[in-house]
Amino acid sequence: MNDDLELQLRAALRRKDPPPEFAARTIACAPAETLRRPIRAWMPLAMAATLVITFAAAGIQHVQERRRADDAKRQLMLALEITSEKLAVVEKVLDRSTN
Amino acid sequence: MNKLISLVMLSAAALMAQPQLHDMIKFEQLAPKASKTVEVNLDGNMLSFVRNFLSDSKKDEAEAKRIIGKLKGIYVRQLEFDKEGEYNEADIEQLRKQVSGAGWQKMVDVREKGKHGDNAGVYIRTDGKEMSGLVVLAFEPKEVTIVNIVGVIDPAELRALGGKAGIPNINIGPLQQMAPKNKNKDKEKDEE
Repeated sequence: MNDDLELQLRAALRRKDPPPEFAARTIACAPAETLRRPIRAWMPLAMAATLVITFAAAGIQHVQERRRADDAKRQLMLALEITSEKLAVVEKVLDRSTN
Repeated sequence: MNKLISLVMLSAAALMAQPQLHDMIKFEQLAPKASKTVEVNLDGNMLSFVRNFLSDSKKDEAEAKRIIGKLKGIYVRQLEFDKEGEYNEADIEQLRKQVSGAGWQKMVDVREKGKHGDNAGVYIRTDGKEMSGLVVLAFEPKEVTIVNIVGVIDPAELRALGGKAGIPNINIGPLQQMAPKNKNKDKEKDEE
């Protein structure tokens, strides 16, 4: 019983080459649009828009980072200016107290 | 158990991400009395951010970049008061106490008596042979200033930072004695 089933399965699943005109017939059945899809008009536009958006985003990010760095640099200047000013005050008070 | 480990790791990460509050001198008791407050908080991340925008090829900027690279933070608090007497001796002591612990060294401490007297102090923190922190406290009748610089500080380099990359000239005042003069600069001056 089992052997019989196995034989039947083997027969059914045996590799068979397609008939000689199978490929040509398949292509003939497929709609022409599927085979040669034209590049849609919006595709280059979409690609260009994507590129523009990407560059714009990178540019904006760079400008924002530059602004943040300028801000931090300004803070650094202010901090060093105050430090210098106060060290001078300390020196003055020290001079006054020793003289 | 795994959840517990994850929780512990997350908490540790969150703690590490927080700014190092111990680097700052606490002054909250004075802040409400001030009419104007200047606050500068530049932690290590901000300083390295500034460094990223300094050029390696320009000599001055490269030098500034190198010096700033040794610093871990610069914190400044400047409180201005409308009238004199807005802070008292206890406030001054409270601030001084914060720089009197282990590792801190009092470099200058001047206390002028009287209501109009100025009080000032320079405190340094040493880490082995290097100076790893500098605090300047200046108490003027209508102004209190706290400067806290964290990181490896060389007074001579601090002075040299002035005039580089648009940084104003820095008067290092009482730190002069710790900073040997730049021999080349002195030579240049002599030649002039």
